[in-house]
Amino acid sequence: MNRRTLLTTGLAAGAGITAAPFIMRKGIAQAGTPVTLTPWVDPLPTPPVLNPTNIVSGAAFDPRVTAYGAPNYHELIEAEGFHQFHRDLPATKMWLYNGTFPGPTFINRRGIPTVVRRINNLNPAHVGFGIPETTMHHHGGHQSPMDDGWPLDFITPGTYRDHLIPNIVPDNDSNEWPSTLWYHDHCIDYTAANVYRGLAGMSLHFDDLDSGNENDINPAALRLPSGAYDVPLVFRDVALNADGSLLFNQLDTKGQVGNLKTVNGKVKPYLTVQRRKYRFRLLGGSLAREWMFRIWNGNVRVPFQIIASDGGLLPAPVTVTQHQQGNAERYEIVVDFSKFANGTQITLNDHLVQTDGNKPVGVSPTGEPLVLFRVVGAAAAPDPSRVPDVLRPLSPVDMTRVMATRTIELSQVGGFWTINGSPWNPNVPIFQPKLGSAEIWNVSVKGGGWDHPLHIHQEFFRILKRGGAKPQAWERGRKDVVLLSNTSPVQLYVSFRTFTGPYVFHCHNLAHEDMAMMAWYNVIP
Amino acid sequence: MSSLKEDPIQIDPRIPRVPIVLTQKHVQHQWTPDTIVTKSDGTATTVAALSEGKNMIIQFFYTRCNGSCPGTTMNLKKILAMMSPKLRKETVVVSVSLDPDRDSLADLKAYSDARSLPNNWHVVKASRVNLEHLLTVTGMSAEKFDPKTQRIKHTSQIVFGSKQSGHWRMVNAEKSDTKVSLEILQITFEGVHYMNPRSPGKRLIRGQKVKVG
Repeated sequence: MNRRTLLTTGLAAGAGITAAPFIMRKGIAQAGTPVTLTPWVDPLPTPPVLNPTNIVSGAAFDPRVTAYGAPNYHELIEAEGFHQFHRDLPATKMWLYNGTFPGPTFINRRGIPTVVRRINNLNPAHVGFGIPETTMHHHGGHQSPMDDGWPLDFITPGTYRDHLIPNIVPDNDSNEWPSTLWYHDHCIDYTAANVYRGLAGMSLHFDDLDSGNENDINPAALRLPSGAYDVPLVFRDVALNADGSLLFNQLDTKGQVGNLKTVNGKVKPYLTVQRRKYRFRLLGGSLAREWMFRIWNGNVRVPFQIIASDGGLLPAPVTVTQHQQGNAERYEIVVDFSKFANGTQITLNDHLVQTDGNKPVGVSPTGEPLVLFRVVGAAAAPDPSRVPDVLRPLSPVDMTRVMATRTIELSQVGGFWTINGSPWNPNVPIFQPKLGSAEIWNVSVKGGGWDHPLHIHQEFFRILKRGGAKPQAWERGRKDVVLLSNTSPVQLYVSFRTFTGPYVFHCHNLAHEDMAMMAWYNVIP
Repeated sequence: MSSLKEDPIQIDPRIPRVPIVLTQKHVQHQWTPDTIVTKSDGTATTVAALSEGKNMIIQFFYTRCNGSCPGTTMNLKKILAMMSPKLRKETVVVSVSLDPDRDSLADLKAYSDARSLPNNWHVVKASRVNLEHLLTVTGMSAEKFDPKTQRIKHTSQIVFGSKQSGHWRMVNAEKSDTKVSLEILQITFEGVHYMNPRSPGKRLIRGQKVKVG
């Protein structure tokens, strides 16, 4: 609070030194003691699963929560709590869902609605960045406007709200079923601060094809790595004060980047892996930071397969040795550790150099290791999992549904981040598409100084063109976030199915969103 | 805080992870900084004292500015006029000169008088060192007077915050819609939303439980 921060991250190459520490140095204006942390001492935590419950706090549910069938009921409590980002750091006071950061993982099954009773137990007299008035957006979810986390649907401390995640797909099209979504606060004007305080978690989706069981006897099941071998990785950068408290610059409208990069809430954790395949679900969960991932075995790059993007499994896996993703994007990869000898140490590195929220300024050839994978096992482990050549088909784009072509320009006007020149206006929709229709959106960025990850609520879209050309294979699937710069305008196919009413779309650099780069459309019958 | 501890893992020396030098530069400034400034009547005081513990708006300007400053000042005046009397009473504006070498105390007074600025609006100057400090702690930037252009290049943002809510924000008061700016000021000062939620949550009664499923 009341702090101004300028963060510079210097990355330099050099020979490895066993157990070399990394250093967090306190400010220059007030000389502080450098803080020395030891890498790879914390095991990589996996967020707990949000289990269904038979008893929840509050009154009886509105019958509407059973509109899509008998749901599983859950309770999610927002409250102050403490989280330790590293063994050697003091605990940090945060806002947590059910006491954990990241929050507990929602597990969804197609056809079984998930109902979440979200209770705001935050301190009503809170002082400091963030506002204890909260909403929750199930990011990527196909849900009604009243369950979508409209920014003005905030609830105050001491109250609760029910969210119905129907777990249905538009047009009952199985190809639209997703795999990795997430949820986070979406409060008007304060999303960045509230999410930075800790209000975010993952939401995984399964069906008969992607059943979450690598031993599934159903011949239709893909049998991707599952259970302990299906690991969410939430990437988030933070800045801390010496007492462990979160450092947040409320005046940074570019979007804050922190100097400590965390994975599932830990700085430089390790994961012991068996000699087999692992499925990793990567979430760019920062306020503004972008990521470029490479996996290293010493100085050799390890290839991996991209199997899914925001909206679920790709039609086919794509083998790469590098992957870049923006804020709020999800990608899933499969890494095969079977060929590595017992004791091999593999790292997953971030190679982007980014010193402010505008955009990365370069690529580091060596990168910064974020997670250490410690391979164990004298021999390759039994591995019933597979990565089939065909994953989830992509339904064709139906151009007969297109009823409008729109131009969307993201720019800075009058000190605000704007969409088509206007800051957020909760009273006037920017478009009124018809239910069941589709539109072509030509989206561009004005000004070359920054990137914008654009997120559209309610339905996955498809990227038809990027920079006038067909997008890369991993961007051809269903998406809900597209990372934009002024050099790569995109053409999107956006659908409006199942639900009528208001939905927002906005820049997912959360400082940009809070400083008004958000608009809404109203789906009409 | 820890010092270096022995790593329990023998790290593969091929892992290119060293050195990672993280330099975190930040200034931990205080709410309503105790920077010494001089009012147009010649009284020395501090920004903290001027705030009187109320909500504060800080503007940087100079009297000879024929660029953004006149517009910013007029818009700020409009925003103050649009505030509720209660909020206006709880708000102090401090306009700090970016041109302390040329702006005399008489210039400051004339600037204030010409615009009929209210009593809760202080037009002040500070020493060069104190000005730099104030710019730093508010995150603002300005260059020195350029004799060639006869101008001082500076941002036209205003910074405002509330000790009570602990919220700080800034807007461009020259170019932003004054209504939008007012809304942002209100929410920042009061620490709660100025508008009602579209559909509020249900009140939780302690001990109330329901069986489901």
